[in-house]
Amino acid sequence: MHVLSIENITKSFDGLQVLHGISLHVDKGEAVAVIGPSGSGKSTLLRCATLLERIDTGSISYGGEPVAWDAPAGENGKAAKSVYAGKNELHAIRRRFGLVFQSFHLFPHLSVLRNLTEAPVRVLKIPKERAKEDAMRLLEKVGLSDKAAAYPFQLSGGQQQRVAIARAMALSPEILFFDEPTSALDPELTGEILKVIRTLAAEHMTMVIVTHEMAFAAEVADRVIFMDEGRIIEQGTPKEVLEHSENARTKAFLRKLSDN
Amino acid sequence: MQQALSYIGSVIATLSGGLGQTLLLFALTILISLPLGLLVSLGRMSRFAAVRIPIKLYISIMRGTPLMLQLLFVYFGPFYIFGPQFTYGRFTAAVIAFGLNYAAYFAEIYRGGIQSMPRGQYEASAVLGFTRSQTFFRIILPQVIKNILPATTNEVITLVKDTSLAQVIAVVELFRVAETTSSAQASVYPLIIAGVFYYIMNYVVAWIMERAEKSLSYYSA
Ligand SMILES: Nc1ncnc2c1ncn2[C@@H]1O[C@H](COP(=O)(O)OP(=O)(O)O)[C@@H](O)[C@H]1O
Ligand SMILES: [Mg+2]
Repeated sequence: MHVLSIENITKSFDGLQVLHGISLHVDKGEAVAVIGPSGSGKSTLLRCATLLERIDTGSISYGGEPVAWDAPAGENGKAAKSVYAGKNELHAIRRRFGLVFQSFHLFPHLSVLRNLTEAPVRVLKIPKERAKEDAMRLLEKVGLSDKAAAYPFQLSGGQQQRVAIARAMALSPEILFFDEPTSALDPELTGEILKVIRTLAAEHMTMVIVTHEMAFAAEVADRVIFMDEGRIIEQGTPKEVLEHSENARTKAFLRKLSDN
Repeated sequence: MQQALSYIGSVIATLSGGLGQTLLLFALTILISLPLGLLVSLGRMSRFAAVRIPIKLYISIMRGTPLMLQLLFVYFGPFYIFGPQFTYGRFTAAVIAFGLNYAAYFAEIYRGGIQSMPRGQYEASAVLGFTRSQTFFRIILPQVIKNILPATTNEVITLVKDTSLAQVIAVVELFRVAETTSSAQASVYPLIIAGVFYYIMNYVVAWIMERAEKSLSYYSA
């Protein structure tokens, strides 16, 4: 059973098709890196997977629990929009995944600790004291136990992103998505984020990481997916995709990156 | 000197009856219009045109016509339209008119605050599994309140002064008492003392709001 199954999804924004039939299956413990030029639909893919956007056609499921599936073809034979599970089912499925945004989106009015405990307490109804203990453990893990009482504005970007990762982990998701977690950071701060993700990978956290850090992708990913213009062009082990790709588009993309 | 002081004392005693009415009108208006304004702002942003459009019209009428006219309309309107059995007290009419008028102004302040919240706050909340109402009351509204506090202060200060308009439907509030006392005694002191009262009220309002802003400044965003 895959942790995440995405089957042939499409997505358009006002007539502009952004995803052209993407399929993605992620197994437990797998770390998948998604690379590709900007505008190729990587964020849209993550946003569809995390229910921030609705797909047009195709299907999504988490651990066999259906999120959305293809509707039977309409009367005129045209594919109708995918059907989504009910509100309650979707609500339950949300706790299966977490998302780390490019620009953190911490709650500025809550302390670091409350940023971590709010969802466990309100959504999972975990007792406050236990949620606090769990949160402290997570903060320790990301190296920020001394910042529990601080507010997000008092932290550096790298620290904020580490809190965001801990916040996502606080709901014990089965799979964690990262959308360019280091892109909003100064280069000298990316290391601390990559270190945290590396730790998670070593613990076999299931992850899908959109990133521009090729060396990092090569290091932590079990599988690398190259996307371009809304399609998966190629996927394989980091070696296969990043070093020995035969694909012209992959090679062009990698060459451009290394030129910068 | 003794005489002057005792005169001022008697004016203050006369005015304090009106002051009580002014304070009550002010307090009731705030109690009604702050929560009502939030409701109105949510209606104003509703996905449903059947909710949104009438509320938009209500807001634009409240903001586009004189409050004095609204007071007269609320007090005399039901009487003229439905007959003499439909009347209520002047003070009640004033509270209704002020409540409705200020709710419209506060609604627009709330709306500005809510709409300027970054989308990322909603998205982070959604991914964490918060319901829509949890997201609104626990994540969005606390931040909105901090952001709109200065604009709200301005509106509340205006309200303190606007309460004097209630005299057009003969509510015996501070301004009306000051005016009648002034002309009966052919003296300017009742007006000056009334002015001092308004000033002190606004001083207190500003002080309270400043404290509120300070207490919310524990985070900057
Ligand atoms: N909400 C939206 N409305 C309209 N167009 C969008 C929206 N989100 C993304 N797009 C478009 O979809 C395409 C893919 O965007 P995105 O998924 O962000 O790519 P990437 O993350 O790979 O850079 C871009 O052309 C972008 O302009
Ligand atoms: Mg992106």
